[in-house]
Amino acid sequence: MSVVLRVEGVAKYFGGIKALDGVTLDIHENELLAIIGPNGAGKTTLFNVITGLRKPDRGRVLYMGRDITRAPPYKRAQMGIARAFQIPRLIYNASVMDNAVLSCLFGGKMDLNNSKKRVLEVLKLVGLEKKANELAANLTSPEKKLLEFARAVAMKPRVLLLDEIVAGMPPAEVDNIMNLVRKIAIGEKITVVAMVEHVIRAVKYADRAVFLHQGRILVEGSPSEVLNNKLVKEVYLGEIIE
Amino acid sequence: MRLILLNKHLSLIFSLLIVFVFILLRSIFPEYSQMVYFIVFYIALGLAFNIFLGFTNYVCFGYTVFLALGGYAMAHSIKWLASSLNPVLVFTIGVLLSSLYAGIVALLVGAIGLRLKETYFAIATIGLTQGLRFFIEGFRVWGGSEGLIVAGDIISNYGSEWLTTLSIEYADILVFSTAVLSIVITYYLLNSRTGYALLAIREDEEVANSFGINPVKYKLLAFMISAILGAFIGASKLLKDQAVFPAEAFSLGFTLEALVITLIGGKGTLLFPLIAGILYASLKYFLTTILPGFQLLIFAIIVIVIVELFPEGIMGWLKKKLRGRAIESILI
Repeated sequence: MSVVLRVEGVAKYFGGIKALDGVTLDIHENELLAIIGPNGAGKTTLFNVITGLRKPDRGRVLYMGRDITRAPPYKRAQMGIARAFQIPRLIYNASVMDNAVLSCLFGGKMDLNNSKKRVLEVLKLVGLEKKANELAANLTSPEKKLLEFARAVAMKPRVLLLDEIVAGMPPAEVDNIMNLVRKIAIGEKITVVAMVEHVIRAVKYADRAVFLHQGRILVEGSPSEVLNNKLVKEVYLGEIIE
Repeated sequence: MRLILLNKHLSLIFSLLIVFVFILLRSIFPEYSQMVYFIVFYIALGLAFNIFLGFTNYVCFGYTVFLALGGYAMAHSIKWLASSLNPVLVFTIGVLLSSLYAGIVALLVGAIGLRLKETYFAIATIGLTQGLRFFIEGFRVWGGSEGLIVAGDIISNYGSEWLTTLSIEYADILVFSTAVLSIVITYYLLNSRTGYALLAIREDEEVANSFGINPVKYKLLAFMISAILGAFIGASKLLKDQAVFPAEAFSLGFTLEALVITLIGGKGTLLFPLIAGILYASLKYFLTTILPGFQLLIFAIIVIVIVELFPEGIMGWLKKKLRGRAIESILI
């Protein structure tokens, strides 16, 4: 499998805090990679470094073999890196359609007509097609999460970073959402990197998992390998009651 | 469907209609041309200012600079070229020069300043006003603190008839055109890809950036458009006054007036700032006539009341009240 995105020795410090302390990670084409780790492990910082919202103090980010460490976020989006935020950051006084059209127009570089077609297609995939003309503010919170996800999918990214898509969801919903993510990732040929809460329930949907702790990748492997790893159980899963 | 399309254009049609009513008024009653100019001046000022503030949420406290630059550009065109070219050409070159001056300064200031957050940008632009003024006065460029007076150049080259023609006809044509141009541009921004980008940036710059929109590019575009329109207004004012003095040209006055109009009108729409411009100009005209000197005091009170009671602007408040009614669609 070819490497689509490579994070190479990335470090990011905030004052004395080592948010990322030399992370090297290969992300393969069309895989669904889960990133797990306790709060403050550096997961969000890693996403920010990959999307360009933060510049690393050390290390490089390579996308399809090209060094994009210095590229601004909008260029990376146009190259095909999309992101869904943990807390949906939508334009609440605009319609569901307009929210998603934006990412198609600019990230996906489509024209307005194609953007609208594409958005309807994706809204159907996530089951929001009937709400296309609804104001984003009028959606329920799970619907807002789905729109945040749909907006990122709509621009036809090659790599999609999902920030805690199942956070705060009831356990039964976790299976539905993760199934949906998997189905769309395969159908649309998108490489997905997902940070997940509800680890035990969610990680099994991934092809591979990575355990991040104190800014370092401590364990890497298949979901079951990672979940059964002694270290992961000790420093992370020991605290979780599911 | 046809009705929706019509609604979409109604605000544009309405706004243009208002300006044309003023043009008509002026041509039928030339004795009111002074008052009409005064009102259209503030319509153009409010709209031009709103193109930047309304679409980006950035406040430029140095907006007066662009009016001043427009004035200086027109004065330069007259001073440098009146002896060799005819007045129409000098006027045209003055307009082009003013967009060049304002465009370059906006580009320089914006390319650096628009990377800052809104508050810091606002503070930085206050420095711009004073900086440019002291540069002109201190280094004695562009006439230094004495400013540039062009009445003599006009009379000696074209005769005193042209003094009146430029100050009445050409100044009016320029300010009317600027108002119409501002309306068309605002309408375009409300309904275009660029407008989409600006909306996204205004709501959440980081998200817009993450979805492929270059925030600095679009903010800079809005800033430069707004600055150039401001320069046209300044150029028209130079033709009216036939002089530009740094102490007056770089005062915060017009920026504050533009802000008051935006406060009344609400941001990022077309018809509201326009109506607010008319309201402000009429009130100012009226107050200056009956209570000269007191208008500033009264406006201070009005601003405090608006900020306290109608944080979204009076028009914004009105729009909220009318939400869902048929009339709402034309108020966009």
